[in-house]
Amino acid sequence: MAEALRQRSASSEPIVSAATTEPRIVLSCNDLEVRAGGTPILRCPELEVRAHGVTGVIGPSGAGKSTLLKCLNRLIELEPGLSVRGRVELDGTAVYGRRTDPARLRERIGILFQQPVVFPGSIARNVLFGLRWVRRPPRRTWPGHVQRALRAASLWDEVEYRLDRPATELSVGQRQRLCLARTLAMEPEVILMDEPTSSLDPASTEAIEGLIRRLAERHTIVLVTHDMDQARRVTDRIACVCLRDGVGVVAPSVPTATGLPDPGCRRAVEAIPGTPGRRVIP
Amino acid sequence: MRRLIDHGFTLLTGMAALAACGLLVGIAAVILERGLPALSWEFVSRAADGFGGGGVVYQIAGTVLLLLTALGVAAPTAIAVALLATVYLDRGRSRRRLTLALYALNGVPSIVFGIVGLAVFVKGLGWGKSWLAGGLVLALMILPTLTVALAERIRAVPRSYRTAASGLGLSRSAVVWSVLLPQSLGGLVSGTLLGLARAAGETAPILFTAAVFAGATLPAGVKESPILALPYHIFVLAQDSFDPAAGAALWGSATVLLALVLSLSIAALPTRLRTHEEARHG
Ligand SMILES: Nc1ncnc2c1ncn2[C@@H]1O[C@H](COP(=O)(O)OP(=O)(O)OP(=O)(O)O)[C@@H](O)[C@H]1O
Ligand SMILES: [Mg+2]
Repeated sequence: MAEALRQRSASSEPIVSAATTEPRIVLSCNDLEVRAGGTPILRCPELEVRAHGVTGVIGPSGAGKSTLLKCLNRLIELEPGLSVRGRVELDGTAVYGRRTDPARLRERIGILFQQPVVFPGSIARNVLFGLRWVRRPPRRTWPGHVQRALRAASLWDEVEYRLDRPATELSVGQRQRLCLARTLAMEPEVILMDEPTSSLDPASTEAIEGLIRRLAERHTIVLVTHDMDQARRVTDRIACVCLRDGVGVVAPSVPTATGLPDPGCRRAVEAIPGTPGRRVIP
Repeated sequence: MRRLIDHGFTLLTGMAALAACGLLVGIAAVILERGLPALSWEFVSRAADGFGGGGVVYQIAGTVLLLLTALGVAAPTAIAVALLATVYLDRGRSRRRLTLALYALNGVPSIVFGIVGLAVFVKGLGWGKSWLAGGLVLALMILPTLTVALAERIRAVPRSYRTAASGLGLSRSAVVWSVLLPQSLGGLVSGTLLGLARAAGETAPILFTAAVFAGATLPAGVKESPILALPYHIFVLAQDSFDPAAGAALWGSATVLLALVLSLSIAALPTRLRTHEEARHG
């Protein structure tokens, strides 16, 4: 806990200095390559994620957006058949360094999956899942943690009176926010979000987008999306992943306002049917 | 035509199920018809007396002791081996070898286990006939059943649970304790049941290692401490079933053994139902 708080205060310092000096780079990739049984499926020559704000990752289906996210917190290592080469740094420390503990790393870099994963058990238990098994706070502090996390994920009002009900009762949009609460309870510095609105209706999508903007004040967010309109609404900078000869290639991020410089990328992104809530791809 | 095949198939499966149930009821009827008259409080609470006289209390105690020993040794070993096969050797050749070894072990005839027990524990370690030798041999015998049942359940735990738990920062052992074991408890219970039910009735493994027909009560140590056991009792009595007293004791013992196995299953029923409930919520 204390450690997380320290990390929080450390990571919020540059907010003040950001206006005057170079923005702090929280995450960076260099010459990253993911292979599936020998054939490359994703390349990321250079990608930088600035502290606070939202960095978008956009690209067509199958380009490797989810794969890129999993590279950032080493979840990729749990995928059978995939191997990673190259450098990823979190605050200057090597993510794939031999002395880096992947579990510790994933505590600092939370992730929300394309499909919300809810564990069997109650809503409260789900919120506490990571905390209980990683930080082990005393039992009397549990209710406080649950309430804080659910409020931060804008779910508290909907579940306040049924914290002990099975979490599987919740709708998909609520589950997505439950997973967000579970991640926020760990107080991560960086949150990776993989198309968090891909299976939501426009109203829920708008709510989540607002939430993402608010979270960006305290956290660094990497948001995968397939929708350029959403990217314009939510992200500050954007990186494009497009397929070149069957290999996903990540282009360096640019300010979202200026638009994508690479015409190939632009065409690939514009070709995506951009209706939020229509596409559900696991 | 397709409907006809469908109906025919339903009929066929129905008949097969009926035949299986009929066989079970038939066996139970035969045993109960001859065994019930012999049953009395004296029969289950008194020590045996001569050939077929008295009761079977020490045979029951011996069988229960064998089962408890087998359970105490096999269950933790099965958990360890199943985790090894599913989590810690998640990829590669060693895992396939382990699975192969388990299936091979499952195919070893029980008399071979008996001889191995004789060679290793009774002769090799010089224990003589001992409850511990019998319990260990039974443990070895039911180990594959337990392990395979548990490993199948662990593999059936959705991959997304493991990924989500790891994504929150749980170490591999925390994932095992928080997700894999709770989710596969039902497999452990049902595997244990299958294994114990098999072990309870086996004569061959305890023939040379643990059981005697008379002259033993509760063991006081390990060396030279044989026990009485229900299946061995039945085995000896059945060889001389023309003696009417022996016949009554024989069927009485068979009824007790059947009741023991059935009560084991019934005692474990609540846990099985509860785990199924949880699985449905998941
Ligand atoms: N474990 C794996 N083994 C082999 N190939 C994989 C594996 N995981 C992903 N891939 C391949 O990597 C490519 C990128 O997949 P990824 O899931 O990252 O795409 P995506 O950009 O997230 O697509 P979507 O928008 O549909 O979610 C796909 O071609 C996929 O087949
Ligand atoms: Mg994806």
